[in-house]
Amino acid sequence: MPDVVLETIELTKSFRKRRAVDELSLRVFEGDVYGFLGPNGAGKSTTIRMLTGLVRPNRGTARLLGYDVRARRLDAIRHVGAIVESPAFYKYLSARENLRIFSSLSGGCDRKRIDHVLDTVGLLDRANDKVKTYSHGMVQRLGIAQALLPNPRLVILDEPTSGLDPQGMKDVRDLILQLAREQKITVFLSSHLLHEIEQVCNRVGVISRGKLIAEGAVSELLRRETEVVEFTVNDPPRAAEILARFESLKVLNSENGRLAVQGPEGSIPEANRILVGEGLAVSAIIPKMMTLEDLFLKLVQEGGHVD
Amino acid sequence: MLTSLRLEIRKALRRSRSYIGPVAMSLLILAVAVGLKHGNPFDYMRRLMEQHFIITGSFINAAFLCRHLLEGITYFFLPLFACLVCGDLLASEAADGTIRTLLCRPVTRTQVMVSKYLVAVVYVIGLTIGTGVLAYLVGALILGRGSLVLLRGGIWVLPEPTAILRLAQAYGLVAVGMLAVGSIAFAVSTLLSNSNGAIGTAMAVLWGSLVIQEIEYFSALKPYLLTTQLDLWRRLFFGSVTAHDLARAVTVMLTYCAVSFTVGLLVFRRRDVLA
Repeated sequence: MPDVVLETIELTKSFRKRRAVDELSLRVFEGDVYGFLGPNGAGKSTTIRMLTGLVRPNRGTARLLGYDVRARRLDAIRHVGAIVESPAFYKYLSARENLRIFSSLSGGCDRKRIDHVLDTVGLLDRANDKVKTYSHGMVQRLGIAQALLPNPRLVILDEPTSGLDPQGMKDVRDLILQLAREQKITVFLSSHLLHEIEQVCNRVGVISRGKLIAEGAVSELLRRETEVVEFTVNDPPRAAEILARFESLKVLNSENGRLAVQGPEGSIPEANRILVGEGLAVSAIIPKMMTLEDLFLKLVQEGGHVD
Repeated sequence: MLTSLRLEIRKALRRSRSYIGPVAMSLLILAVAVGLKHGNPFDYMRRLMEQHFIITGSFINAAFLCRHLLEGITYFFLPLFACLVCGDLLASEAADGTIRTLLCRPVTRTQVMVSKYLVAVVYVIGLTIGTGVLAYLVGALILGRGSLVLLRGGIWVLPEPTAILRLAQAYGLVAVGMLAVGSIAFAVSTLLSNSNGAIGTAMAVLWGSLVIQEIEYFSALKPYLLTTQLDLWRRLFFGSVTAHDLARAVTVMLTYCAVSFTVGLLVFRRRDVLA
């Protein structure tokens, strides 16, 4: 079993009467690219602020690399890189000077390391330019460079593609995958972009109104929710008529020779046998994979509302 | 701690705001020196003294410029420039969001606060003492050197060495006072995300204190007011200040510093960083 590198136990935070995070318990294992998914205002940033010690929880525990964030924040954060909301830098300093300042707070690092992380995010040729001359995308990439400086075991990224153009988003996603695969860094990625999580993450936690409403491997969550199959038959209206007799099956629609049927996993072979037995030609049975978007909307509708 | 302090100094040196005070004070000193040299101010003093003495040379010299300058800057320019930097050290980090990046590194809030405060101390004392030293040098170049002549219930003539000593004490006392005002701005900035509120509050405390000390009803408060103790610098030139007076003034003003810093630290350590 891989090590737990990030863990929250019944983490709770209220701002006046509004409960921003409600008894949130989640676990991120070493090597995970964990997607922390939720609509705007769901409590993602507040959770990240509690994880990094910027906000004090009312109740519960947050642990990074085994250390309690409240009791041993410095140990907890030492090998963690983080971007909380939009990355912020001293605009009157160059990228290199900014990184030198932030690295010296983590014990310092040499020029080679700074150049290496700048190269990793594609900013080495602009390293000496003042940050105020940078585009939004460049600042985002510099944020990732800053997070990578202390040779982290865990990187926490809060909406890292926010405000980027499609190419910028792809670059950041590729970079995250590269970090996870090549440098074996565990990534905790907060986002409200479903396709981003689907493309990048192996595990996901879905948060809505401060509560965790689902957690698990992306593929497992999607498989768990797979309950629709498409039958390609020679006579869909007749097939629909036959299948409608079964209580456990629900015919959803019939289009272009395909019949969408919802039912428990075990009932599909039986449905196929009956259709064939009735003389119909079944040329294909295709499970209709639920996308993360379908799952997310379903979960959020069940667990709360999308802001 | 040393690392944090070094970083704070590096940041302060790279910010244009840090240079507003020194540049403005330099220009002011130059303007006052030129005005004293070529204008005809304090002519009434000369005429008054000529009734009793034979005057050779000019009593408008470097020491006079230094003393005269303090009258004009103690309640406006110096506290304003002190607050401009002290009130901005933390507030700008909150406004720009860099406080998030800073506190996501393995550094304690106390370390951040202490190193910023030390920068504030160095800046305020440097600005005040630097103003005095520059005023004396510019005055010596433009107006020449000599005894300090003052009028107060008579004519006071302080030989140059004594005048320099008293000026050093006066600027030192004002530096502590400016530190107290700057500390208030620093403390208020822990609560706000913009420095304007911090500057405004600290200046309001200073000017409010000036008003209160003139109201008879609040006479019991007078010994504890910042401005009462700050005003002591004027008496330093007339030999009526004892070491005890000086120690009390410094103690009261340092208490303002200590209380402001402690309150700011407590707020900053407990505060949720939502910026």
